[in-house]
Amino acid sequence: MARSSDVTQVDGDLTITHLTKRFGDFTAVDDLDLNVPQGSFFALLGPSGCGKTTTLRMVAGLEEPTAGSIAIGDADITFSRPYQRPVNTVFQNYALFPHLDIYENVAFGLRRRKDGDVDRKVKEALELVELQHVMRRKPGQLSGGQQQRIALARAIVNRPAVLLLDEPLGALDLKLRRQMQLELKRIQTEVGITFIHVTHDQEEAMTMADTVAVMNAGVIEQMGSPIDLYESPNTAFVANFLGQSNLLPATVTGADGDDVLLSDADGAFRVPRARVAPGVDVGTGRRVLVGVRPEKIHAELLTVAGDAPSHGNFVEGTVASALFTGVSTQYEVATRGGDVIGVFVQNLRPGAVFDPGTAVRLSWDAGFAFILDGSEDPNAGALLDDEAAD
Amino acid sequence: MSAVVESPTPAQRTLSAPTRVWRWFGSNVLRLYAVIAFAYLLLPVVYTFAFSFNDAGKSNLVWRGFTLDNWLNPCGAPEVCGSLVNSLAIGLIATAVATALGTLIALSLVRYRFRGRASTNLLIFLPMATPEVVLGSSLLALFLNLFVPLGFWTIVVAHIMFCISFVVVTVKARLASLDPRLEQAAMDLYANEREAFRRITLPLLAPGIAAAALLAFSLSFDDFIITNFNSGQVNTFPKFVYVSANRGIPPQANVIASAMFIISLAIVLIAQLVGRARRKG
Repeated sequence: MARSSDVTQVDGDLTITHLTKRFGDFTAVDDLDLNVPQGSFFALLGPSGCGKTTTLRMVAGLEEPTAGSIAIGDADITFSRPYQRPVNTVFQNYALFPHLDIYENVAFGLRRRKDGDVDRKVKEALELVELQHVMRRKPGQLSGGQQQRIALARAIVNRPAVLLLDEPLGALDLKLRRQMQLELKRIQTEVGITFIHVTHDQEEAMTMADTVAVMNAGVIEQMGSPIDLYESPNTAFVANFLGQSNLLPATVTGADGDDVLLSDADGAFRVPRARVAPGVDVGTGRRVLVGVRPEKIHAELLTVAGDAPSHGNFVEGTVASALFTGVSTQYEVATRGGDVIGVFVQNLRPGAVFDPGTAVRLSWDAGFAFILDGSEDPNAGALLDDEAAD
Repeated sequence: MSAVVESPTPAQRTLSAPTRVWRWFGSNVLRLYAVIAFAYLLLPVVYTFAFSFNDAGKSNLVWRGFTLDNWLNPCGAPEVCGSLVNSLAIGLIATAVATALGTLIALSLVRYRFRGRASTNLLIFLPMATPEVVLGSSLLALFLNLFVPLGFWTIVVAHIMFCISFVVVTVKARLASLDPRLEQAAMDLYANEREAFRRITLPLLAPGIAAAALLAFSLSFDDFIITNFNSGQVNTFPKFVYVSANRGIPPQANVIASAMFIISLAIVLIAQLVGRARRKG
């Protein structure tokens, strides 16, 4: 019979099954299923209030699920106490113990588990985050970035099966955040522990994680590698929350070999069948959304009306606004059919910026577009990133 | 800033004497005010201290010459030390019990949501808001109705009662500024509930608890009104001073009052020095 304070010693994938959390009438997490492979860097990405932190707290044991189960390897930990789980957390505001020095902060977990090798392990962990020299200082004497690294060392020193990071870089300024992103990735590769990183910052999730799960309103909208999510979003929310997308309502007019043929007020397009989001009906006459990322669009001066590209994926319009950002220029183009399309053009040649009012032709490779369900709101998730950043 | 004021400008050199006095007064009025306020506050203390060296006869009202006898023999006057020992004992017991109970009440009020929490919060303030005469007399009525003999323990019970409120308020203030995530972090780092409390919550609350205990002790030590109702034949130091005021307070009372003042001053100073050293280290 194990003592109640014994920590479950397991490793393996983290498996979340039908996990649900309700607070009164509000469902924070709704029947969530998730499998995080052992040793991976996993990001749970979503706007504030989407249920990602609640999910994390349930894995940590700080919140009890309404339904469902959580397991690491074969061990079910759904209802075990936080101190019985092989899980450690890097808290959002670090939660370092202000009355203990850095050494004792890092040693806290080891001492509770009666580890016989505290000194060596603490010093190794401090070395990993390159802060051996602040060992005898109090947390209040450290900068935000240093505190962040100590919080990480304090969790990692216990070699948990799963390490949870709750918006760990949220309180740092942009430059430090970039630096810590690289640092976190390096440490994760070095120690090989499963990292679950909760964030609302899509750039942070994409640069660090092997797998990103985009969460919205308590459910996972899509999960995959950052490249998959970016290039082939399955929903309007994912298309807009990760980067920007032009989502144009269009009607399916038929099929041509492997391509779906579509049309809207601006003309006819084609998109390969492989680029249709799963579950979307592309039968003739269906309303869909055609998505194209702004940087995938080629813009050229509209000189002669006749020389349109033969592949057909083009629209014509006039430049409504041009925003020069140095590396690129961001245009908004009003099409003849009444849509507004965003375009990013790299500034390859100096002085080649189109002024507002210029007539342009926008075209893209058929394989770069994607098709989403026509019933979705084309603006879903578009403005949430800014709100969440507050 | 001072450099600007002190460098004599041509305009200043031509100022008339009254104007200069007025200017000086204007820039020093706050300092003067502070000196006067401190004098007002400290004059009774200075008086008490000075007259503890008085070679008093029957009464300690007029200065009759300097002596160290009172300080060398503070128990010289009858009942001075007996009442002091009573006050110290009552103070220590009341402080220990009130601090322990008050800290637990504060913890439950801040950390838990339960039925009657709001009314408990209100009730805690009642002993602080009620006039001491009312508290003292109603306690007396209660003790008499229950046939509890008045004496040492009725004083202790009365003191615990009014000290708890102050302890709760003081500890609550400290607890409110304590991040509950620290306890969660401790539990996340394999500390069970008991260890998290002992290693994180308690040490972080310690300054608040200590402040509450000091406050409770000083309240108990100098309480007169409630004590006077419920003490029976037992004498406490404030009661002794009050009773002997009619026939002249012996200079030994001044010695004990001055000693208390010096001891509490020393405690504050040491606490400040230790705190400063700890912050530096």
